[in-house]
Amino acid sequence: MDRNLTIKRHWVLLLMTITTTIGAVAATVRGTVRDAATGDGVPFATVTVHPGGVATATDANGRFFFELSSGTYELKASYVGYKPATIKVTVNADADVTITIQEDSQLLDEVVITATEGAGLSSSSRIDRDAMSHLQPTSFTDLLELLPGNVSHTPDMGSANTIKLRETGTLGANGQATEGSDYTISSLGTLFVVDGAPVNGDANLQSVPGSSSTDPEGKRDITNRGVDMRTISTDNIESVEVVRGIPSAEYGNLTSGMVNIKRIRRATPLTARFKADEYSKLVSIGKGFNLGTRDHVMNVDGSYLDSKVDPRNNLENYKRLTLSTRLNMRWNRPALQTGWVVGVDYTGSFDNSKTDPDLSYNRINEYRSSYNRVALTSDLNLRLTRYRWLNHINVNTSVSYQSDRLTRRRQVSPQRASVAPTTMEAGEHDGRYLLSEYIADYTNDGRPVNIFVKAKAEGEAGTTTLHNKYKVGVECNFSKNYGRGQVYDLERPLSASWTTRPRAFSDIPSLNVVSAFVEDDMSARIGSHTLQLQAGLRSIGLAGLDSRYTLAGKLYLDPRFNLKWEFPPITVGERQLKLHLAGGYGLTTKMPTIAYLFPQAHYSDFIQLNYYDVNDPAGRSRISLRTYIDDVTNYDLRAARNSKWEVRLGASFGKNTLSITYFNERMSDGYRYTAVYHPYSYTRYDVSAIDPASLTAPPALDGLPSEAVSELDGYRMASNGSRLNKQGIEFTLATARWRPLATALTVTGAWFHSTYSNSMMLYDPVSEVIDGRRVADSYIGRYDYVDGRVNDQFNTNFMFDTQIKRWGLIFSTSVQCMWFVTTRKLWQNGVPVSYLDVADGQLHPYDETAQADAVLQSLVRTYNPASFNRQTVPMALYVNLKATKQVGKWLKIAVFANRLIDYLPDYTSNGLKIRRTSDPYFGMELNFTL
Amino acid sequence: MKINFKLLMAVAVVLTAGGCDDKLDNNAIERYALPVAISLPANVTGEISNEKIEVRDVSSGAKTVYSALGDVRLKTGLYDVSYDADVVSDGVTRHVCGYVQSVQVGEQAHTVAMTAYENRLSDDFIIQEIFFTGTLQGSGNQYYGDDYVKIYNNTDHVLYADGLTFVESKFLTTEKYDYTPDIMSTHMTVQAIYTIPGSGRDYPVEPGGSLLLADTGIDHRVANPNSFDLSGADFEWFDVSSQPAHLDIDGPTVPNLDKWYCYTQSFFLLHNRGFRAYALARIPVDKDSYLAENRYTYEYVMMVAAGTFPMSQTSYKLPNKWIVDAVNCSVEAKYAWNVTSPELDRGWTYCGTMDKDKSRYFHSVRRKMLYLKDGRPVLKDTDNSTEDFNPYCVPSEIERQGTAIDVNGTPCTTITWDGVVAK
Repeated sequence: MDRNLTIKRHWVLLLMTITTTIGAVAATVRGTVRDAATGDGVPFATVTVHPGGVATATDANGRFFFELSSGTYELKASYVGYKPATIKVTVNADADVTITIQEDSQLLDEVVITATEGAGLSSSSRIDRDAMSHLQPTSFTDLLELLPGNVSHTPDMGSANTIKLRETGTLGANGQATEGSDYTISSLGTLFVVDGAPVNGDANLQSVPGSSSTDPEGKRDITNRGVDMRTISTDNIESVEVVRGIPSAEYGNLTSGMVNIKRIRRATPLTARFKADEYSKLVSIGKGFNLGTRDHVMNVDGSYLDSKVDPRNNLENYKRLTLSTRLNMRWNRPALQTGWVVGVDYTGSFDNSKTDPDLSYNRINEYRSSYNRVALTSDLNLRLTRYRWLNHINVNTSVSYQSDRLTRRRQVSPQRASVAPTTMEAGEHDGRYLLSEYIADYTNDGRPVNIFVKAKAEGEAGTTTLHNKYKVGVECNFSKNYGRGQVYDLERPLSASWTTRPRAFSDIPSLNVVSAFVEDDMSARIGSHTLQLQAGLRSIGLAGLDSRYTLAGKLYLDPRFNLKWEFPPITVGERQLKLHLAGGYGLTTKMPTIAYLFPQAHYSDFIQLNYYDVNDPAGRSRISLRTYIDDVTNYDLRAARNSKWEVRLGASFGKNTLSITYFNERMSDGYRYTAVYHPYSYTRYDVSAIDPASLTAPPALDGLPSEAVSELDGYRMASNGSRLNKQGIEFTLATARWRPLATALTVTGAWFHSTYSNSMMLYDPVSEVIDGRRVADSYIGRYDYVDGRVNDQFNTNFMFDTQIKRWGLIFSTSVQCMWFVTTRKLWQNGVPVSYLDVADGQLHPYDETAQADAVLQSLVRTYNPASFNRQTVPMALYVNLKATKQVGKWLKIAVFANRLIDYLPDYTSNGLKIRRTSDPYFGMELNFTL
Repeated sequence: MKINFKLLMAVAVVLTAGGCDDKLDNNAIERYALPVAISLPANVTGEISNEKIEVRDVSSGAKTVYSALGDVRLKTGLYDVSYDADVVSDGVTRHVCGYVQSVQVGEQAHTVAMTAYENRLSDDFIIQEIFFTGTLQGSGNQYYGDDYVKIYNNTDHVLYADGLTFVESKFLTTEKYDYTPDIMSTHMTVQAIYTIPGSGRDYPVEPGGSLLLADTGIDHRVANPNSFDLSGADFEWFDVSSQPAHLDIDGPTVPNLDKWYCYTQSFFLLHNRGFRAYALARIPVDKDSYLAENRYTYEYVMMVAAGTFPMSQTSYKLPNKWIVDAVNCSVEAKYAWNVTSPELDRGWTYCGTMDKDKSRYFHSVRRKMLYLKDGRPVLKDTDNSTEDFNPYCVPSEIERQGTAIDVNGTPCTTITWDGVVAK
């Protein structure tokens, strides 16, 4: 009762404060905690005032403030991994101070080798350099095991690595992960930001038409899939923050979450890393120089990775080369602190795959893909100390140029004979028979260019009791592909059944995403409660789009809110119990990519005459085609929007911390390609009227008996037809180090409940031929719910990390338990709702009369009722061991062995006993620090 | 109709320890009687003679022949059992035979019922040869389109091919599942149905004559010099399609079969590794009513390396009584079962011994010749493809045309009646 009253009183107080803003203190001391090496603000550092004992944490920019009465104080700043620093301040008027803290590398005090739950308003995971060097990653993909809900995986360098946050991913009927093109919004909707600039893949078009997900080009196709994490080397990364919750309005063009990568920008000794494991060899070198003064630092680094998909197979491999130079300059004047970071980065990513001519029917089957990206980045930060209302101006620009080249070379052996449609125009024309084997060469030349400009201004207002930090900004992102596109000989197609046609990518218009944002971070102290509210609004739209598009001139507004309420600490024994409650709600919007907005025209070719001459096949045969060209652009395409909310409880007791988050995300307009069908008409000539004996040239069409034929045919169109609902609980528990064993325990885990389905009715043609006529030529059924699955998984990772300072040893044991994975297919009604009839091109209800028809009855799809049962894969437990040991002054040796121990109990699936096995993954590395 | 099963012999007695004398030899392997109950067809009665029980040990392949069921003593294991006997009634001898696979022999064995069928004296076409493997192009790539089937008049009178239907089984001989409902004892499940056109008397075939049904009736040497000429085929299965991706060639010199049904909208070809059964049938009803009334929906649980998948599919069914001949094909390494009733076929034939056997190309299965009668071969037809066919033969068309027998283009120099007996 009493407590309730107190809380109520606090609310009243809060309201009063907001309306009246009464100040009752002498002066405001604000300041910044800075990293001595980089000069950057240190977020979430603790600043304590003596005397008084008031403490606060710095914000994301390292800023803090106190309201103090006159007197002399000591301000002490501390942060994990840094040496604490203290300054003296004499308060008689408002002051702005800087506390510089230095990283404590010598001490090798407790380092954090797991992801830590962010202390910000939105749920996020932070991964630091120490965690990365203990994890020994090959690429960015490997870091994801530290996020709640994830377990370690052996690197898969033979396919594009795309990210999934807070979801199970699409699963097959037996709970195995599958890659489907219908839910690429998961990775496409996750924003990757490197040093403030996004990594934009909207103009990527490196694909081969008609390739399947088992082809080398299909596995590595990154079109519409966002960022391939294989290309991101971790060696120059200082820290990674993965925002799983509602991101700040500052970041947009995303649906799921964001990955914020900050690279090393400080003076460092020369470091060299050599890693070797079963699949790969990696070497990286880096150094940070002081340029004259400590204010200017230059970082130079490079890395090279050579990996194989299967160590026994030399014919399929992946190589990556990265080079980076970053210049971090700082000028301090009393009124203006200027920080300017400019960088030049190169990333080269090379895939090769060949089939073994001794093992395959196809003697020549080669795939090569290269990706060369050069980026120039500039990040200018002006800190104005004079004005509170405007204290930070940031201009971030980046220009990137990619040169992507995919080549395919294959020996094509037409089965019997095939036809190559060669015309680029609509109408009637003759095709060519492909009668013998040939070598097909295909090149996909892509040159995406991205230009990104962002300008942002920040300021603050208010008092200690009610404090506002606001920011406004605008952002433009230009993407265009200047490549030559698909280059190949139309008469030598890569597949003998191709009906696609090449196009130059440079003809495709550019994509201009324009955004603006405004956000206020409000914090209020009500008694000993602290309330923080982040309220932001972001607009996003496409500029310069043809007016036929629904998206032209349309502006989407994303409101985003995050609230955090910190309760007053409760002292239990000698330690303090701190609790906070946080929550958020937001809309996030991802604009379609170039591939979705500006698709290639679709060519429908119909064989009108198929005359093969037995006497002179090459000279007198004739194949006549009628070609239709359809614009398959979906002008009604909308942006994909995700609505997400979350509630989080955070607690800390001494050095033990706990965080539990419930989240719920809904999206019903994710991108996918859906098939559309229409009737087409053409003339079918009767071959039997041709007398082969009398021919001296290919037969003339005139005079041949013919009939007008109408047939259904279709193409795939980008649509907003995917539904993706995600909910679940994420938790992280980190204990204090238990001194006798020098061991701390981190428990992370999550329960994910993900639903993947289509959100609109789909056509699904049957492949049968009844009475000599393809059913799909005449009728195509339209079904309610054709696909979809509901998946659940629950996992817990127990990470014991032992750090013995005296021996320079860090040893970790990670017990990773996937308690279960279940999947259930959404119920499907195999009876079509309606069917498209070629006779009139209209939909007709599928009724009993239709069901009795000899041909229409084939449209009914049947499903085994057991296929809708939930499939459960029981517990899988793995134990991963990792160790890092300092040897002498310069050398650190690290080893890892993943899945050294496993527990995979047998289970029964539809009456069959399933035994599981797993392969360990191990390797080691040497790290020199000179 | 009253089903009057006459129990010929039923051995339900499972010997526990009586098969051998414990006192004499403790180490002797125990042997058991064959737990098979054989019943005769309802309309066959009379005195049984010349019994022959052939038992094949599934694990070793060893065959043993017994002359009475009571004599059979076997080690614990899995056996395939075939039965032959003559039934004499009123001076008429009729031949019966039966076949049952995977009989468990042992202490706890359950009695298995075997229905013996009267050997059908075929009075219609039989399959003489199936060339399903195709040829290889010079580069080593597979070539499709030159597969064919030869059908033969083994009778002593003229047969009319009009309306004769050629079908391919839906099920694979290499994957055994419990298809529910199980209709195999009465129907064959088919996925391709092609019928010879004609009004009834258009396509007479003399005794000893054959018809060549080809995939594509053109000279395949144009596209693949290692192939041969099929422009002289009697019929071809042409799959009309307006889609360039599914192009099939209509050989202008070869009439087309009437395509009743096919599972695929692409072109149809015989199972290139030979995992299906093929049959000839005389369908007594018209096409429309057959297509409207014979859809068969079944369920099963597919079990493959990737997991288990409860499936439901729809295909067409063909009553066994309309089928005039059936041949099961498989390979030894993968063989699981016959996909037709034992009434139709009690064995199987092959090209190659394992899955994706590269040596299978340029080979066919050919029916054995028994003897020459007035210069025409009389072929073996006991409804047991293991016995009736010569597996892994040089195809008759390659022999006749002297074309390539391997990827290097080595010309064929042999000529035989049935792949084995030289002409």
